[in-house]
Amino acid sequence: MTHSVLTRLTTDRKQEYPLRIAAVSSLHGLLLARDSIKHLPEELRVKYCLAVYDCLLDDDEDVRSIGAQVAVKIVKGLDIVTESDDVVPDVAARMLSSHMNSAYPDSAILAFGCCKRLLGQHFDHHLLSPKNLLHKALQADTTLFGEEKQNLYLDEIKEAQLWSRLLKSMSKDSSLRHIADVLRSWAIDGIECLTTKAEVEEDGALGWATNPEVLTLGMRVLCTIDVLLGWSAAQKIDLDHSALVERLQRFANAGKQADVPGLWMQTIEQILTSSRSES
Amino acid sequence: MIPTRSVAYALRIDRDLSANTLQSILRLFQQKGTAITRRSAGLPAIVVGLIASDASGELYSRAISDLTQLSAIEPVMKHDEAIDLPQVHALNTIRAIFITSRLASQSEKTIVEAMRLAAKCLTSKIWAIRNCGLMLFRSLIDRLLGSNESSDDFFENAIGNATRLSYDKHPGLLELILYLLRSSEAIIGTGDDLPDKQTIFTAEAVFLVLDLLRRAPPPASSRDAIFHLVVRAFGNTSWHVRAIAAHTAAAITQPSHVSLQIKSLSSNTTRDRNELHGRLMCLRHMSKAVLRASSTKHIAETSQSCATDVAPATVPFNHASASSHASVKTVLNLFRDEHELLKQCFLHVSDDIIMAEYLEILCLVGAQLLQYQAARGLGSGSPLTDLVQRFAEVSRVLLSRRQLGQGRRGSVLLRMKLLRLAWLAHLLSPALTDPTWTKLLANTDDSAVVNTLEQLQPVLYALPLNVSWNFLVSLLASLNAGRSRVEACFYRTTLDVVAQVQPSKLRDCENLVSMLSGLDVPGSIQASLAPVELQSSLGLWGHVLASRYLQEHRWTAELLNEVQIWLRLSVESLQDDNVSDALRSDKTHN
Repeated sequence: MTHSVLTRLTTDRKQEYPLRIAAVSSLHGLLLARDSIKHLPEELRVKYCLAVYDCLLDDDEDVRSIGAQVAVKIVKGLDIVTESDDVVPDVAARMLSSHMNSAYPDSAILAFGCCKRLLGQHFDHHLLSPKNLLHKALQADTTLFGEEKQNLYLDEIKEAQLWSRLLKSMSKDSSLRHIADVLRSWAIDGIECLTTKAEVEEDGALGWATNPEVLTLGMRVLCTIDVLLGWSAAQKIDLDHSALVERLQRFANAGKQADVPGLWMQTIEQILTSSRSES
Repeated sequence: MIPTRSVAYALRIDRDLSANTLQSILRLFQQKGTAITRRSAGLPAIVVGLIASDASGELYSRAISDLTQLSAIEPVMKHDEAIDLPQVHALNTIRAIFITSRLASQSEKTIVEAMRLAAKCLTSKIWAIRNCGLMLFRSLIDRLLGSNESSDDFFENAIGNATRLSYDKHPGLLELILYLLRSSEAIIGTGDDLPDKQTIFTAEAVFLVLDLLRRAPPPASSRDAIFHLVVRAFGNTSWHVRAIAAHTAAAITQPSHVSLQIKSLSSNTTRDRNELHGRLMCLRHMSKAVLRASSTKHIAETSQSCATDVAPATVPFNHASASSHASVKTVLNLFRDEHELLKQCFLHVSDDIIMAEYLEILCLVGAQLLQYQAARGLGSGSPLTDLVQRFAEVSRVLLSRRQLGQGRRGSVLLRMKLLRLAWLAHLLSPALTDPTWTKLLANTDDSAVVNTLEQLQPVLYALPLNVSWNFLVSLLASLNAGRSRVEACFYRTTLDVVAQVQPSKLRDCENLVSMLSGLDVPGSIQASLAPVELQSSLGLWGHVLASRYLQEHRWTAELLNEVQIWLRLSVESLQDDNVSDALRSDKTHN
């Protein structure tokens, strides 16, 4: 499919500051009409909330602070934000995510949004496999001049953890079965390739897993497994629970040998403990 | 234990040593000036170090007086070219002294004196000395105001805002500013027989002074005198000087005087295009400030009245909104038919720069009205209606003028403004503006190919807002058929239309683009400044949706469709990570 004019206009270049400011003030503008959000169909409301959430993690402080006002208005249902209601973007993000969690537990749009943020890529049928991602991350960079990374404000690991928690508490109606299939194959691929890597190559202080992208990828895989086990324990989906736990255990053993990052080990431990207590 | 006397002795030796070194450096400046390389080869840093090591301050005053003397020496000219310039090194050193924080308390008292010196250097015949003077002046201004303020943040520095500079603390500063403004005016006043260099220098000096004034408005007692001097710079031949003068004039006007000044600036006649341009820019800044002030107040107030659950349409204009209403009215009055400003602008109707500036003010008002409408959700019969009607009327008249957008200079600018105006006018009052477009279209349709595209442009801007999509496509196709070869201007016009259709008919745009074969969309769109316009449209779009929602108090299917597209555009605009782009391109490879 050809890209639409819109996509060409907006994504062929890095989004400049004025455009993002325009977008966030536009989002703010809709709130000028009282109740305008309340009466929107749920699908659009969720999309709106997700867009506002993106503003809260923007690189620019101005975008974040306008976004925080919008978020507070949404969560508290206010018309104007007085000083006492004003919060910093970080807090606003937490408020907004828990608001979404409680208000739209069965929204499929939200579930897809969660998956996108959990995996760090557009959630469709062409997911990039963990193997590719790992290979790409570990390729030696031979470029003479590094390209500046966009949006340094975004903490991908924290986001993955947050959205996996949200995803875990989604209700059964939100087309979980379809999502679970995709997530399961992705997570199994991920844990397999990480285990293989850990068995072959030792990690340690300056090892392969200290690469930020690899670290993030590992957390994404672990968080996804966490979500799947959580769903299966709550009987939202059918899943071979013990097989997945076994794979995780294998990775834990290999990881211990290879001395992979403590964050991974800690997360695995938590997942295993909670799955034991639930089962 | 060292005896006190010997400490004093050691200190004296130390000081003598410093003084001697200083003297030899100054001698070096005079004798071996040519041997010293760029930026005085680090010698200023040595001087600063020497001075800073002397706690008594004796060395400081001696150095300053020596350096000032040195920089004031009349340069020796040989074959119309100065060979040896100790003045340059002296000025560099003085500059180094003033930007050193360790000497801050000592140099604080002599800032004005140094400014006087710099100002004097600005009149030198030799470029190197003028340049050093300029750098010194710039550093001193930064010293006075702090340098982290960017030079463009007019918005932060709203009218009448206090800065950290106090003119009382620097006696003589205000006099110096007045002197510089007056003398520059005198130089400008002597006419065109001056050599070019001199004119440029004058522009530089005036620019700096105006910038200082803009960032630190003078005390109320001398504002009037300064305002008059600043206003005279509107006629300057340099665009930059005009622009900064307009900024400054708006910045030093007290909030209570703004309406008055708008009136007086707009009612005087002038035959000079430059001056008219300067005035329009100043009016734009003033209008912006007036409208901004009123909008915050107004919206907060409206929201409060909404919170008390009174139906919006029945809320009478109370005090706060009445005053903002009045201020919008003052600005909108600029566009009355019989208004002097309108007449003057239409004398220069072929001058795109002037018209673009005029339209910019009009667009500002339109955007403001739109915000009011959105906030209040008012239908007919509201106090806003007459304002909206007048706005629509002016826009209609302007957009139907065929001469607009024909000139060469600044026509891209003007076209963008027209586009925005058409959009605003339509959103505010479709009933008033739409019939006009249809009529205009009916004329253009028969002779579409005969008419030049420039003539069609204003109509094209208004097109997609109110005609059926099929009509637009057929019109564009007929235009396209008339062209045997690819004409850049045709594509640009079409793309302007595309960019404008963007908000409402995104999917159709795709069809349109595929229809125009051989068109490199991203490149051309970027070249045509459409993204800039997209930003301003996007910024208002949310308000517009809110406003439409309020008119019916429900989301119609059509409106919901628009919300979908709007959300998509907003989300896409917020994406700023390379990662997703990279992933996307990877996927397409697969």
